[in-house]
Amino acid sequence: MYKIKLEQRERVSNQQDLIITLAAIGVALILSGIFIALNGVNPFAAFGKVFSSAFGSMYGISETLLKSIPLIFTGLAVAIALNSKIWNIGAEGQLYFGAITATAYVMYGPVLPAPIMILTLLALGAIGGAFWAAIPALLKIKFKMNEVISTLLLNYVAMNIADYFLFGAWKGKDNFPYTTEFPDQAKLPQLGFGRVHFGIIIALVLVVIMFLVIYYTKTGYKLRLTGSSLKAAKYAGIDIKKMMFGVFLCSGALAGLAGIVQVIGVEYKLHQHISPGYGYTGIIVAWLARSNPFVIVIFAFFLSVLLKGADSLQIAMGLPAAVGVVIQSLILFAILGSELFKNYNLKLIKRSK
Amino acid sequence: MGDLVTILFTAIASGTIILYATIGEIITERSGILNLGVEGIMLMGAFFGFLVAYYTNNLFFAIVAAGMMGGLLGLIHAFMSITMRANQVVSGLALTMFGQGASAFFGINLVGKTLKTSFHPVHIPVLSKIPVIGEILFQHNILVYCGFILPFIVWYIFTKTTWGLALRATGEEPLSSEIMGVHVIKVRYIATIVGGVFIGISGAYLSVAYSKLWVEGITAGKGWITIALVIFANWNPLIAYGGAYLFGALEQLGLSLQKFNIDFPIILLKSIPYVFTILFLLFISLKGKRSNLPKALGDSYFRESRG
Repeated sequence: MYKIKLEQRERVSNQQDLIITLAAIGVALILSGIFIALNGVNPFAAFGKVFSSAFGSMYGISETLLKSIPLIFTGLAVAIALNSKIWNIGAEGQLYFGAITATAYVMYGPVLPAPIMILTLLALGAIGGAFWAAIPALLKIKFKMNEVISTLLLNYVAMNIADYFLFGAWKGKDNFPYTTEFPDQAKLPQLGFGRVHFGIIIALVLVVIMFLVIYYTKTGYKLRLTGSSLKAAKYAGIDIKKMMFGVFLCSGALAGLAGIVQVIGVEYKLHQHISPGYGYTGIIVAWLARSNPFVIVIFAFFLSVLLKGADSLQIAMGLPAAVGVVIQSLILFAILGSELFKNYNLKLIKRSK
Repeated sequence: MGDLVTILFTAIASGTIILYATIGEIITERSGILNLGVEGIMLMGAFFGFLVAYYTNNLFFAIVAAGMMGGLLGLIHAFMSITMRANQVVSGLALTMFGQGASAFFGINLVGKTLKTSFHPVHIPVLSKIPVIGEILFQHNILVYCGFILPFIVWYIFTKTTWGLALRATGEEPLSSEIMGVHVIKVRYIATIVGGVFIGISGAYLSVAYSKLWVEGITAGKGWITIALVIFANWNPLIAYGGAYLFGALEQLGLSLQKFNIDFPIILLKSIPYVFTILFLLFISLKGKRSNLPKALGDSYFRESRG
């Protein structure tokens, strides 16, 4: 009889870390393949399709990049909170609320010259997202309410508010639940590579800023200290409540930006489906990247390959759209399981009779 | 009066959905395992129960199948959080995503289908004849009646049996429990699986008995409301009992605002359950301590760290 024994080990090298992560993703893809096969589709053909739709043409690459833009924003949003051990599961709702807030200006405010109009909308998107995140922040700080539950419940409310406007005051001319197209002054310029727009530059600038803030400033240090040990942070004299509130606001603002950038960069109008769950996928992106801003870019791109691939599987092979969500969850499980191999050495020992 | 009776009748019927799930989650959390995958398990239970009911026309099979599906997903969460020592929050979120995705993926052909058979109301002799109360309480289907008794059984097991003691001890002080001879890992596995079974059944009750149809995302956040209700109930099955029906009643009252000519946009009524849930949590937070919060809830257990 053999028995598996776990021995705690010191931090693994970056190389081992990478190998284990890649192996986990491999396992997740195998499991996904089984899932796809259950639906009567050849998994190899399916993954071939995913790959070719993402990389097979310049158009494919540009579309994949396009999809990764909101994921960078939501990834950063979740990551900044996660850095101080706050779970913002509400990026999806903050994304919608940011988009709603900025759209309100388009509906009721005067049209301004392009750069000012865009800046106004971006600012309003960030403010809207921050406002929506301020609610769970206050509930957590003042009333100790678990933010996982409150942020999640508010997602439903935010989307319901979007419905309220889209089926009511903001309904477009043809009576469908979307606004009329935004004026040209409100649209983010494209960069000449497919539909990829200026939002990617904003996203990358924010990545660099966040990296610098987290790793090279006093605020960032306090943030990480709060995340690693609440007690230590308290003894160090950090005002934890203020810190948490600030983190929530930043997180919400980033998610709100994801929403408005998607609206003025791609959709050019507000509708019910501006996000197919970017807020939730952002959680995976942030978790996989261990909240490191640069790594977030990589995983945002990786997940957008999958999202894009899932779309084309739906169109080309008739697989239900939900296949994308299933694959994401399997990746999450596999990576989560792989943590064990990073923290422990597994030893096979002979069991003495 | 007739309106109010209908509202309260529906409140009991809809409260039963979260009642089953809340009892399940209380069992799991009392052992120290936080399962945030309720939404996903409920969806899989709802989907699988509906599938079995649709193809077999056997309601008993449907409920059992949904319970087994819930137990299986509970097992996955137990394996991740106990054996793989994974972060329970992330594992729960992954489970939710999986349930949302897989139920939509496999359930796509069931959308719009109707069941040939469903649970019929059973009028309890004598009791159902009582005016008002009888109409509200004793003209439901069998699953609602099971829900009437379930919290008492679980409460009895929690407080009066060694088994319940071991369960609660595991959630409070796993190390000391182990020293006292409780097999912590086994207890947690069982609690998470049994919890999953009840959550799965709640899903099947929703699709097979309550709404009698399957649509993608049919639970619409009820799993998260469940998790909030567990906190509201202070991890006590008897309070969960009242809490679930109270919640059902508030929800139905809110939804029937339009009947009373109150000027409120109908489309925003959909937000009522979520807003109520947050207010519920706010209320208990103002009321004071949540004394029954299992001390070890959400922590991984390291057996090696015994002295």
